Amino acid sequence: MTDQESVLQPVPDTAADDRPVVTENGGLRGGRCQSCGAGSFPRAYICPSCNSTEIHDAELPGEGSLYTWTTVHISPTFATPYTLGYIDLSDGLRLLAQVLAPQEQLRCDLPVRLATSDQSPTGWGFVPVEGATA
Amino acid sequence: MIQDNAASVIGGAMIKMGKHRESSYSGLAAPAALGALRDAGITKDEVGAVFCGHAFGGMLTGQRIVKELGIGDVPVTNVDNACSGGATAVHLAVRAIEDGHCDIALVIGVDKLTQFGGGTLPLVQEDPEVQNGIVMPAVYAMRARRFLHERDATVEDLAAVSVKARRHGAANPYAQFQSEVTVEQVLDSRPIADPLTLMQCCPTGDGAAAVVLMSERERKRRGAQGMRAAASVLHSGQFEAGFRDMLRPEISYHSARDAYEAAGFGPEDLDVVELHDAFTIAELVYYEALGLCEPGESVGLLRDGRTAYGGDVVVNPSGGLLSKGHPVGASGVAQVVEALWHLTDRAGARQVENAQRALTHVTGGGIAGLDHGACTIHLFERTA
Ligand SMILES: [Zn+2]
Repeated sequence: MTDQESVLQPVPDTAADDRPVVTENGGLRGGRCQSCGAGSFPRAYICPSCNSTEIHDAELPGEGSLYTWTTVHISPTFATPYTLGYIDLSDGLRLLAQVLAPQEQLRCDLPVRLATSDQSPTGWGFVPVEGATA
Repeated sequence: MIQDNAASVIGGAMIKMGKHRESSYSGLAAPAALGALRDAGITKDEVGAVFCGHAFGGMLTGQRIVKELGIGDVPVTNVDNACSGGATAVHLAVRAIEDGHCDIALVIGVDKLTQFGGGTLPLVQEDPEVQNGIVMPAVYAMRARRFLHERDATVEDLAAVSVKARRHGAANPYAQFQSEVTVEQVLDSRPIADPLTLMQCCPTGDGAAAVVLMSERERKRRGAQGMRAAASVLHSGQFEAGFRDMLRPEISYHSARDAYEAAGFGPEDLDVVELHDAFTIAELVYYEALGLCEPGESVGLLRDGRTAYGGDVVVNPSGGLLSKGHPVGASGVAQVVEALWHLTDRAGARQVENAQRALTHVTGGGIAGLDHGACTIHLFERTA
């Protein structure tokens, strides 16, 4: 394999994307495998399901439910306290993100939606859906 | 009939777990390595291979340690597998003996966490969850939150895990903490990641442990006693992009299933279990994963004292990581040493009476999309 075109090159990261996480439409900027349809966030470089590298930008749903959460009081990454949660998006993907909500409103399975926020150390996170029962 | 190439642990030693800021990696591990050789009744020249588990020791940690004992000219393999590093080294030693590469192997587990000055375990910044602020206590805290949501359980049940661990640890001269605590003290300690408080998290610590493994043929020839590795299982986590039941960590379930199948005995036959209680919630979740009870029954098992002295099986007689601390690469080997002491009636005040069979379990590592990066389970049986 000495053909110039066959020489493998590294990519900066398998999940690198400097663009804003929240799209203009309020969706989540992720990826979708063109071969098997699997979604990914951050956009994957290799599809873990089918190993295709044909993964295009895709807008993933910005709504989901809060599977679980914790308020973190010790961290080398950000000023504390901050709240993290696992969010199950409406299309089945799960991601870890900052959760921006008053403590009394937090509960498992709370409906949440994606939002840009300067209250979040990452600049984005999930907030309770208006009218969601606590 | 035990095969000639079956592997047994015939010697072991550990140093007192704690904060040993003045010690180097060799300073931590060399006493344990020498102790294991002496305990096994072998000389340094009889060691056919060395396996060293560590996460933060840097290049050639194993060689830096064994050169102090004058061991060389044999394969020395360094292993990182986060919290399973030490147990992975044991696994590789079992395999090396079973595959006939050597008859006697020395396994070392060591880590020094005080080098980071306290706080949470340093994670790899390349991971997207780490970039979003995950820390290991938060992983377990979220598991605890979901557990409290789905189960008839309270924060007092979580705290009861620490109370049991510290009660056991109070009788263990190798533990970092040798004092008992109450449910109130546990819950009143400062919050780390809600609902987990400080006393529900294993303390920062340094430590080292070592064991000597021997083939059955060699063991019989010498008449050495110890415990046979009836199963040695290592699994990695499976990536899952979507829903994952955090109360059913697949990696520990699968490892346990494979271990019991290999050993030919089950959880009901165990006398001693040393499991990965890095945080209180972990113990409750792992009771179920290891088959000590049915899914949904772990709180009752703890409340009824069935995992303490006098119960069905003594879980973490050493006091667990909650009492010893968790010097990542050392913990898996220290569990094996604890098991050896019980199965050879040398565990002193904390001896589990007439212990015949033991299980050791470590799992860990925080990676996005995985329960954990690695899980190792060993099953041991007293040699005849
Ligand atoms: Zn695909």
